Amino acid sequence: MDGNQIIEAVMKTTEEVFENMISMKVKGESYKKEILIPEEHLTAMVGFVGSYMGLAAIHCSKRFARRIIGAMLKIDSNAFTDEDIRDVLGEIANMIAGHFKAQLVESLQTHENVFEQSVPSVICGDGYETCTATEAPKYCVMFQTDIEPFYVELALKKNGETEREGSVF
Amino acid sequence: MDNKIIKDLLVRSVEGVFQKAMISAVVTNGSSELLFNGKAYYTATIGFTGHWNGLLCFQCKETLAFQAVSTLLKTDITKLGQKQVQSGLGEIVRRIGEKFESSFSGLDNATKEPFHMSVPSVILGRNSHVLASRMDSAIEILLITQGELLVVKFILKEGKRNRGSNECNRLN
Repeated sequence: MDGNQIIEAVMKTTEEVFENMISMKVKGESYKKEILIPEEHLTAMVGFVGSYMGLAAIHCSKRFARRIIGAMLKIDSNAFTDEDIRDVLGEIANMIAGHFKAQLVESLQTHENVFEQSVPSVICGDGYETCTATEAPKYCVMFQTDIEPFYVELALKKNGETEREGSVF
Repeated sequence: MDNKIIKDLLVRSVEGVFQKAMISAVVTNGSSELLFNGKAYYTATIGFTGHWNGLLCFQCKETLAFQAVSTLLKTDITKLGQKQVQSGLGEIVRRIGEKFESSFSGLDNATKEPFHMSVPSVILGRNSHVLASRMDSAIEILLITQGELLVVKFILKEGKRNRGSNECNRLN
């Protein structure tokens, strides 16, 4: 997969997850600027490792997260807690990574399990920035919705680089 | 697996990376939430998966983050930029994970490679929290190093690999 194909796979994957799980049509476009969400927001991340390794993350405002989770669970958006929000957003990040894996397997024409996903984590607050501390190429897609945009980031590299060893200090 | 054994291994892994002499105390009662409240701090996280599945993260204020990365890179602290610090913290959390894995595989005789680590991510926040799903209980350890607090959080689950797409069914 080249960079454009990865971006397209992220778009397709996220569109599928949102359409199937939330019945929401979203439209993605490649995004190369800094992600700015000017209110309390959340980032759900899931790492993965195997013959490919990296990280998938979804960034959105808390308001948007409440709306999509309300739509997903078919309950009023005030009827659930912050814990529900972080659990479900973590699952959405997990699903995006899982669907992306299916696309990657298909493009590689392999039956190999290209990666396994780790436990999702969620960051919430109104003043933070995230950075993937790796040389892995990063891809970001902004998705437009009827409510407001959200962002999906993916860092992906082929596993095979020599890991450094030893004590730091 | 006993949480006490995991905590001990984790403390030793952190000490191994931060050098034992730098860790002056392991705090047995204290709240990371209160100590970080309102202050800018870094969180470095790394996920791992395999026979064991989970997440490792450590948190510290900017001062300690810069000191640690300055020592790691053998660079004058005043010459460090934020990108270098983020990258250095990612490397540190990866090394803590490696040390833990190495000690852990000695205990878990049935598994020579208990897990593989994914790529690290680093968060700089002032008013933010890093959380896992409520289904995953985290072990939290507070350490004092160079007079600064270092918080280590760890989630370790056996056997259940996270396959992503399969989770769709559960939420339907």
